[in-house]
Parts: sequence; structure tokens; C-alpha cells
Amino acid sequence: MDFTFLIGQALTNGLIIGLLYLLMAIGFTLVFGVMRVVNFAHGEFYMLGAFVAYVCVTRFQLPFLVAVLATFAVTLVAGWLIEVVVLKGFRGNELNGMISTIGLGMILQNGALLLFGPDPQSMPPVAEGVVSLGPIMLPMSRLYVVAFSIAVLALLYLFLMHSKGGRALRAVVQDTEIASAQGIRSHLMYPLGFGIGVALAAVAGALMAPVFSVSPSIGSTPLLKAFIVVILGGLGSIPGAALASLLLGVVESGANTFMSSAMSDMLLFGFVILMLIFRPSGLLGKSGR
Amino acid sequence: MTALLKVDGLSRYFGGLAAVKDLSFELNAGEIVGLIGPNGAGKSTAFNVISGSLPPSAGNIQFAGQQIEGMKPSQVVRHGLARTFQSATVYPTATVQENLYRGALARFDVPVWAQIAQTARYRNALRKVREEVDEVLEITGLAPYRNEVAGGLAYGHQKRIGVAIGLATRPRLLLLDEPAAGLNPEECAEFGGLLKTLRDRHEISLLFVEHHMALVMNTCEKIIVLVQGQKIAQGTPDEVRNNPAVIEAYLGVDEDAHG
Amino acid sequence: MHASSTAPTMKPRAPDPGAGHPQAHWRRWLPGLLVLFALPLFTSSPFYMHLAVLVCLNIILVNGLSLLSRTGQLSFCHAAFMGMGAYASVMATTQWHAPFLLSVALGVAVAAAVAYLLGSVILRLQGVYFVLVTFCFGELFRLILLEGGSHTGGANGIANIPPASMFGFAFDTKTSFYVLAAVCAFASIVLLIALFRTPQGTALDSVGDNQELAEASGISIQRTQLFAFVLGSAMAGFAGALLAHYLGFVSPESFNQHISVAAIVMLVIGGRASVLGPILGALIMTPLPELFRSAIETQNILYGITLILVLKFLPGGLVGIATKLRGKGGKA
Repeated sequence: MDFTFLIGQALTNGLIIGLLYLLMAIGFTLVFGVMRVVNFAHGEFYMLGAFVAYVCVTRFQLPFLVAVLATFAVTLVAGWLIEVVVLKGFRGNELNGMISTIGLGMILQNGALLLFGPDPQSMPPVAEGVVSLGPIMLPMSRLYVVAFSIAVLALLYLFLMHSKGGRALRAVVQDTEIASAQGIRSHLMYPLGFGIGVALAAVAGALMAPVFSVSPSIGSTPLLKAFIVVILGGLGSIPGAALASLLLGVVESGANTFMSSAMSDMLLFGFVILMLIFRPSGLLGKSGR
Repeated sequence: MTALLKVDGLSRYFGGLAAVKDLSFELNAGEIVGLIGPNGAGKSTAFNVISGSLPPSAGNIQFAGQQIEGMKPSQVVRHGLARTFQSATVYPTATVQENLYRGALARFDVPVWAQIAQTARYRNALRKVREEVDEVLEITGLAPYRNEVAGGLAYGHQKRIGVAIGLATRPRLLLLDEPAAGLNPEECAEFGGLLKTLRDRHEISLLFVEHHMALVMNTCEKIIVLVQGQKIAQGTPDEVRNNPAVIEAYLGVDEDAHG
Repeated sequence: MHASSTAPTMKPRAPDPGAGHPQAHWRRWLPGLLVLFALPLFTSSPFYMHLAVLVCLNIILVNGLSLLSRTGQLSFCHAAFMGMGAYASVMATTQWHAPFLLSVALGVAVAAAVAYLLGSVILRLQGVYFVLVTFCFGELFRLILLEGGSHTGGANGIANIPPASMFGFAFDTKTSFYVLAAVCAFASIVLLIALFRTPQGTALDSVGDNQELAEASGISIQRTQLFAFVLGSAMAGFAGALLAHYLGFVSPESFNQHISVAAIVMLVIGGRASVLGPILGALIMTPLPELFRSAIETQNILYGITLILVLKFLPGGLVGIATKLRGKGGKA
């Protein structure tokens, strides 16, 4: 088999999936950076997003783009409310906050089970067909995912870099103490950071909903990937998360070409553990707080 | 007589910044030594390096004949060098007696299985520990509070508990980080008396960082002055008080008694 | 610079001054517990007996988890050590026909050895980083079991495990195994009570209460946490070995993240600061999924809500209720 073709295909697939990892990881990093909480429910927000998109498209007949926007909006609001109602009491107590997100995840997943049942539902694909770039095949549906992901990331970039709220959020992620000394108000930053963070996960879920199936159990793998990306990229580092997610996507894709996915997962976890032991600050992150 | 504590060429850098640079001094057994200097002079950093909380960037530290630089704090304590903290730090949910008990366990050498089996050796060692705790409670005047929960006591008492925990580890040298901070003049004088008692009756040498000039001048035989990480002077209180470099860098500023 | 000397401790906030240490009051509840242990012997329902066995094994499991938790670290791979104990003992029993006691000892030894090696390296990571690395290790272990081929039986696991037996007597009925499990659970409780009366046990609480102070007053954080991790994981291995010889089969999914999380939930709801906590947690949370099989989603939602409420209003767990009722009373 043509080696360059294999590599090329793996690279392309890897970049595509890497963009999704990026959406998950940025949201996760945002939550951790602002609130110092490891959000164990992050995967369930991915699942929530998939279901919201599913419901929008199949029950309300909304076009996909609108469904994605609705997912973002709904999850942003939900996340804001959850932070204020549930997580607010844990500000300053990271350990208990983290454990409470475990409870939150349980509620979300079982809520979905009650509403939709355990069976996978499928959504009509966004687009049919394949585009070929030389010998490399790119399914149209995946290209849509890429396009939307890039759009979301671009908007996020603009927000974080050029808006007052976004800049404040970045300041809090970079250094909470200095940020509060500068008067940035935590009672707005916490819900905003959490809301946007989980909304990003939800968008990732919405984008992937037509590609894979939708069921209450789809959240655990994305959560794991978010963990890995954030560890590799450095907890609290958004550029690190960006670098690590693309790298993870590509490496994973390449590894899966040559070995079983379980094997590549094992090597990945082994590598991540070593990374945590020898370089907890990750590829680009600040030293472990 | 070899010095009890010998610090030689000690440096500690943070990135490019030298918090402590080439610090050398000796402390002899039975001495009470003061370490003074303006804020940011590197005094707490020096403490952290000597006690093992931070590794040195350069230099070595000899204590009771042992090279201790790079050792973990718990190891350093077991060699007989203990330190207290600037802000009152106690075990908040435990009683005062329990707090001291935890400090006294530093030198407890009975293996775990013997502890659980409650062997005779264990019971004897435990009795000794309880006696030591009682003694420290008396010395520090905390005996009336022994059954109070530490977290509920006033700040001044909590600071005293911090010192008591350090004493409970049976140190030969105790490092005290701003022990008088937050104390009123009366408490301060009382504290000075305690320091002298510790040295005179219990043979504990003392090195302490302090801003409270009266306390330092009245209790120390030797004073080391640190400015921007470097030692600029060392000597008796009189020598230091009249040292022009010290006056310019530090004492010239009108230090009021409450640091 | 070691992360351990500067990172904030992750022990839950200390209760208000005057709350006291509930563990000193084991004399009050231990006799009652003995009575509770005896109760299942009067039931003839195999279902309740089964529940009782599971409660006992969970008590051992969560007791193990509580050791490290008291030092301020939370392990998300506790189930992996349970799995190590289970699989190692099962391999000894099925492949080498080793006697039960020896197999269990092997299971415990394997879990302890791995915990020692792993802990030596990862315990210097504090707080969040430790949580993440144990989470990843848990996943790694599950994958190793899945890909273990003929050694571990892969996804199908290992079945036809001979029942526990000692000196010729086989614990092949639910009742007989329950007696074994109850004795072991009781022993684990007594072990913990004895441990926390010793200086070593005090060291665990010291590190959890104020890590910096403990280290600065001569208690080595590293050694104390390693001790807790090894002993706690060994107890998990013990529980796993027992479980395997009770159920008669093991599979990778018996020891996955859900189990680790379930143990954490039991510990948090029961109470992290007392020997009574794991007992309460196991007692209350084990039977419920079995009793309400038809409404398991609703039940899990209630679990999630309970967990959050407990964390918010009763961070000391259910044991904290007793403490609040009792009021002042410090540990001497």
C-alpha cells in the first residue's frame, strides 16, 4: 500500500478529529482555568449538545446550522444557571467542586436515559458524498464538521482576544489572583467561564451527532480525550490545549492505521502518565499549581 | 568548638532573580541569633532553604556535623532543626494537646506493626512523648488551653501553638519566622522572656527573623543583616545598631515598634 | 521544585472549631455494628444475603480508599487495585490450583506491590494532577485486562472460579461466604480503628489537615501518603480477591471507572474523616441499586443530587450529622 497515501489519509483524519478534541479541550481548560475545577461532567455536556441538536433537527425540523447555534445558546444558559445554583458554593474548594461535577454528570446522563432511553438514535447526515484531495478521501459530512469547528474557534478567538468579557476571562485563566486584584468580578467570570466552556463541549457533540449516533453513553470517550489533551497541553493553557489536541488527533489516527485501537489507547495512556510524572506542566503550560 | 549551624555560600535563584546570594554565617550552640532586613530581603527564602522547604541553587548547609542542604523538611527536623511559620499555622480541628502531640511524633521511631500490636517498646515510647508534650505545654504557658480546639483560639495563641509544635519536635535549633508579628508590646516582652528561657534552661539555640527591633536588640547576641539577598553586616546588637551601612539600608527608616 | 511543597492541600475544609473528632467514639457504635453484622444470619432470603455480602466487601473497599483520602489525596483508580487483587488471585486459583488463602495473599501482594511502585512516582503530584494520573492509570489497567489475551480472558474475563475454601471447608453457599466476608469486613474496621490510635494513623490525619505543617514538624508527606496508598490499595486487592471467589467470575468491566467513582461516592456520603464513614456509605449505598433495579436511572439521579447536597451542606458526610448533634468535644 502506498505509504504516503496512508500517512496523508491518517494526517487528514487526524486533523479533523483533532479539531473536535480542540473544542472539547478548550472548553475543559476554560472551566479549569477560571474555576480550578476538573469538570467530570464535561463529557455529559457533549452528550447534551448531541441530543439538543438531534431534537432540533428531527423534532423541530430546524436546519443544522440553526441547531448548532441553538445548542450553543441553550448550553450556555444551562451552564450559567448550573454554576450559579450548584457550583457556586464550591468556589475556593476545588476538591469538593470536582466531586460535585461527578454528581452533575450522573444527573445529566441518567436524565438523558430517562428521556430518550439507552438506544442509539441516528440523525440524518448533514451532507452526502465524498470530496477527494488527490488520493485522500474526505467525506462531506466531516468537512462540514471542520468548517463549523473552525468557525466556532474563530468566533471564540475573537471573543477572547477582542471583547472585554473575553479578555477578562483570559486574565482570570492566566492568573486568578492578579485578575481579582485588577477588579475583575468573579461572580460574573465563574458562570461565564463555565457556561462557555460547557457550551463548547456541547457544540462538539452537536457537530458529531450526524456523524456518529446519539445516545446517553457517548460522553465518556470525549471526556477522556479532553483529560488527555489538557494534561498534554498543560492544565490551564489554551495554546497548549490547541497544540496538544491536533497532535493527539494526528498521532491517534496514525497509530490506529498500524495497530489496534486498544493498543494505541494503552500506549497513549502510558505516555500521558509519564508526561504527568515528568512534566506536569505539559507541553506549554505553566508549572503545576 | 564547631558551629552548630554553618551556612556557606548559600544562594537561591528564582529564574534570574537572586533571592538569596552567597549567604554565609555560623551559629554556635547556645546562641540566639537574629536575622533582620527590609521586606523582600530574602529572609524567609533563607529560612525556607535552610529548613528544606526549598532546595538551594548553590552553597551548603552543615548542621550538627551533617550536610543537610537538599534534604526534605521532615528529614531536617529529624536531625534536630525545626522551624515555625510567619502566619499562625496549626492543625485547626485538633486540640492544642493533639497539635503538640503531632509535633512530638517527629522523632517517634517505633515501626507500624509494633504500633498496632501495642508492644511494650511502643507503650514506653508513647509515655515519653506524652511527658514531653506536657513539658512543652508548661514551658509555653499553653497548659490551660490543652483541651481547646486550636482553630478556635485567638491569633496570638495560635502563634504560640506554632512555636510549641516546633518545640515538641525536640530541636537543637529552632528557626522562628517573625514570631512577634501581631503581638502587642506586653506579649512581645513575654515572648522575649520565653526565648531566653528556651536557651538557658532547655538548651535550644534560636535563629529568628524579626522586624520588631526592640525584641531583636534585647534578646539576640548576634544579628545578621540581610539586604536584597546579601549579608551586609553581622555582629552584636550594638555593632549592628551603629553600623553605617545598616543604618543607611535599613535602620535609617523609622521602624516603629510594631514592625 | 516539588509540586508537593507548594500546592494547596485538597483535604476538605476543616469543620467549625469545636466539631471534634468523631473517630474517638468508636466504642459507642462498634457493638451496634456487631449486632448489625449478625442480622443477615436470621434471614433466609438469598437476595438479602447477597446484598449483605456486597456490603461487607464494599466496607473493605471503601475503608481502603479512606486511608489515602485522609492524607488529602483522592484516588480514581481504586477499582484497578481491586481488579489486580481479583485477577491475580483468580489466576493463581484457576491456572496454578493454588489454595484459596495463598491466592488471596498473592492478590493482596500484587496490589500492594503495584501501589508501592506507582505511588512512589505519582504521589509527589498533588491535588488535581494526582486525580488525573490515577484516572488515566485506571483506564490503562482496564485496557490491559481487555488486551490480556488468554491470561486475563480478554473482554470475557475468567469464569468457573472455584469458591473460597479454607482447610477443606468450602464457602460455597451465600450464608457461609457471608460469614467469611463479615469477619473480614469487621477485621478491616478493627484494623483502621487500631491504626488511627497510633502515631502512624495520626500522621495520616496530620498530613491531611495541614500538609505544610506536618512536613515542617517532621512528618514526611511522601512516606505517609505512600503508606496510606499501599495499605489502602492492598485492602482493595483483598476485597477484589474475595469478590472474585464469591461471584465465580471476573471481567474487566467489574473493575472500571464506575466502580472507582462508586467507591468515592460511598466515601464522601458516608464521611471522609472517620472510620464510621465508609461503613455508613457502604451500608446505605450498596443495597439501593439492587433493591430498585427497575428505576435505576431515577435512583442515579437521586445519587447525584444527594452527592451534591452532601458536599454543600454536610461536607463531613453522614458522620458529620452525628458530630453536629454531639457538639463540642475535641480529640485529646
